[in-house]
Amino acid sequence: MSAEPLLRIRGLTKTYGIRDVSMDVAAGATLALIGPSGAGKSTLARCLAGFERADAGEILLDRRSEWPRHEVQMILQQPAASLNPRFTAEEIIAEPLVIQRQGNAASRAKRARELMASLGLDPKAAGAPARAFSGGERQRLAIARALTLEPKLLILDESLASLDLSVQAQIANLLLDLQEQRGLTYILISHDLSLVGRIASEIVVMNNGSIVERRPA
Amino acid sequence: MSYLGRRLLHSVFILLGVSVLSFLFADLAPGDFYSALRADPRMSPQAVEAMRQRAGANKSFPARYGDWAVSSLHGDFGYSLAFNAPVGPLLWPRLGATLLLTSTATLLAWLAAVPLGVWQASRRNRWSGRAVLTFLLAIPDLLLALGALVLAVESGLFPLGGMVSRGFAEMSSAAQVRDVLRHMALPVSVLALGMLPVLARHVRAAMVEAMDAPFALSARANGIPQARLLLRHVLPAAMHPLIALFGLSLGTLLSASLLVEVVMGWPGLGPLFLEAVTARDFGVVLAVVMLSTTLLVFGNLVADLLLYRADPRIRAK
Amino acid sequence: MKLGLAFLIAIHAAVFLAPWLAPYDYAEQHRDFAFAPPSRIHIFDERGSVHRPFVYGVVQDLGSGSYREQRGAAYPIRIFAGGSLVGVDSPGALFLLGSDGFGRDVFSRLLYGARISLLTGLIAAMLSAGIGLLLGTLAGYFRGWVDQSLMRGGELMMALPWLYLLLAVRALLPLHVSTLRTFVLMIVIIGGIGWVRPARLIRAVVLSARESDFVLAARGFGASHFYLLRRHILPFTTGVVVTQATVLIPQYILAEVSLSFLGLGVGEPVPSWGNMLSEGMQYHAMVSHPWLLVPGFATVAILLAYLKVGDALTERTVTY
Repeated sequence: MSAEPLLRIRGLTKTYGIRDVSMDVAAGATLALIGPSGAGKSTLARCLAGFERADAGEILLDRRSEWPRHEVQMILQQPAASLNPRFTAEEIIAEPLVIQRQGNAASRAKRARELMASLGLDPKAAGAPARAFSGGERQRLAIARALTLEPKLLILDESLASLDLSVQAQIANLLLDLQEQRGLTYILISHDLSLVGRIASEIVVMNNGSIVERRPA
Repeated sequence: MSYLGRRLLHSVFILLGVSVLSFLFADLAPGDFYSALRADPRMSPQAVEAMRQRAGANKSFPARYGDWAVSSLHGDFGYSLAFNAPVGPLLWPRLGATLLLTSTATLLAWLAAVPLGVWQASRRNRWSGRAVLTFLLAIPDLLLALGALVLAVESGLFPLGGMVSRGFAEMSSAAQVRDVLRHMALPVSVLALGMLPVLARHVRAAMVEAMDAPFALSARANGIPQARLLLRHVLPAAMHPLIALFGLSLGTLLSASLLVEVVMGWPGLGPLFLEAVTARDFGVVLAVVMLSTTLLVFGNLVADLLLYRADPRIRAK
Repeated sequence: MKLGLAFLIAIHAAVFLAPWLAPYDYAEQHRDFAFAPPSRIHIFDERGSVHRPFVYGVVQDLGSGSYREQRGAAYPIRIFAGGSLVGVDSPGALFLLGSDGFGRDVFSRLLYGARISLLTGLIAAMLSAGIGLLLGTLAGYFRGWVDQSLMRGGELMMALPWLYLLLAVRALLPLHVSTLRTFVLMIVIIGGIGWVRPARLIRAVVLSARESDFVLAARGFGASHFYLLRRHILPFTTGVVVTQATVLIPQYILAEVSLSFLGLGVGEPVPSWGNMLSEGMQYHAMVSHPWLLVPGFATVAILLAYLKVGDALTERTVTY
């Protein structure tokens, strides 16, 4: 782990969302964002993921103020909604490559199968449509898709909340393994404090748009 | 501004927009009333042009539109070139005839559709005549009208066309009423039969949806007998979408009967409109279009307002 | 559903093959056989012996106007005779559904007329669906003033009663032009007026698909508008387009029939189911010659078939 933080946020502000948020996130960390509804957790996440622009302040990823979109990926809560039900598993995972025009059909198919395997999915099911998979499996597909372009930062916005407890545990462990293998940094937004206790390395508490507390997990 | 106010304003804008567009379209249409005259070798082009000038056909668009708007507000609705008279007085008797026909038919159709729809809903999966109604649904008004004509000729029981018989003015009031009723019987039946399947379908669908709602299911679990359940609990809940439909029914009072009137010879707006359109008498065409559109927009407005009053959720918005 | 679909396919195939199936050309007149009833096909002759199917010659009683069979003159039905599937040698006549006031074969005219009526409905429906797809997608995807102006414009169009609008537009355009021009004109008018409802439905689908998380994710990877529309949004509109088509086609067939019934469609001698019906009405001929109403029954059959198919389709999409 290098001394330089992966993520530097300074004075980030967005009306009706966050007020003057500043923090550093070290590479390889798992930062949990907790707090009541409306605290600004999702707003912060969306600004980081590039879905929204903040009104003031700056974000530096690896000391850059602009970075390729794929380096920060977000996994949402509803597995069913974040995947096009008509797409096959392979199409879903390979989609970022298609959009970015990387590789050809064969290399994309191969990469999709590799990712499926790393996420504990049977690569032979690559041709099945998304709606044939269970909730937990769909979240794995969503994570696989997020990993396709090799991101540095993964934001998990209540990503495990709608899954069964046992499935949650499986995916939590999976996430930890992936982090080790690929050197990922996680920001986890969750209401589930036991999950937070299990996988987070640090905890940031937000309320009313600002950071109230920060401590190691 | 209140909901009523906003909707009213909206409707007025729509009517204004429609009138401008219709006027514009009539302008763009190749040829006008005088084109036919121009083709007549007995009339010199100069004479036709002079007629056009006198009728004010060469004024600018806003000027003509303005004239027409003012004339409409006076109840004249512009000038009919074919009949050489203001349009208004031509319309009113026809309007009355059409309204007589359609309102009777609409009333009858609703009176029949509601019990029929309720009955069909109560017999969910058993035979309920749905196939018959579907068949009826597929028969267009045009054909029902033709069939009715055949019936009239074959049976000799019904007069063929017209609203009154000769010598109407000399009849007693009672005889007059009977006369009109005899003339009305077939056209009204045709119209009502045309409306019935659609309405019954909607009633049935609304009832079925209400019957499946939690409140109805729990009422049934509480042992409330079928008839009471349907009439006192389900039907009022099902009225909600039906209110909007009723408003729409009102809206089509002027436009539903065109074909039937033409085929069966009922002296309403339909045949007048057809004549005017073939003769390119834009005054009449415009007036009839505006009248029926106004009623349609009004019908939508009524439907919205009734829904608004009935559903507190909309009011809260 | 299957029955309806099979019926429709069969009818359209027959219509496509009209020149071969029809015993006569649609304009071919037989002045001696005006208002002839449908030919009776016999297998047994007067003495009771069996023959290939044949018809007797008919002769008209000039007093009453009714027809009598001439037992002496028998005309066997020929298969593949003279370029059509069935026919008889002249001076015999095979009127499978009778003849009209000019002695023209109703069956042949029914087949040729179906081309006009059914094709107009079909193509006009495709036009409406196409325009609706385009405008609905633009409105739902780009929103803002594009959406507002399209929807307001549509609202204005929907404020007008449909049939009145159709009549007015049709009649205000040149009335007596060539058959082809009239055909195209009818399609353009009928199809061009009815785009609003499909557009609204498609707009709704596009709006909701646009907001979905998978579109958001794809955008996050840098997808272009074109990619999003092509891969994620438009595929969801196919259901709507198909169900709209099943609703619009019969409506538009009826529109064509109504318009040509009122004399605003294709002109003589080209038949359309509408103008065939109006012919019957002109002389109150249909009372004494009920076979003239056949185009009406044919229309009902087609509408019923489309209705059944449409119902089955909506039920499928709802349950899914």
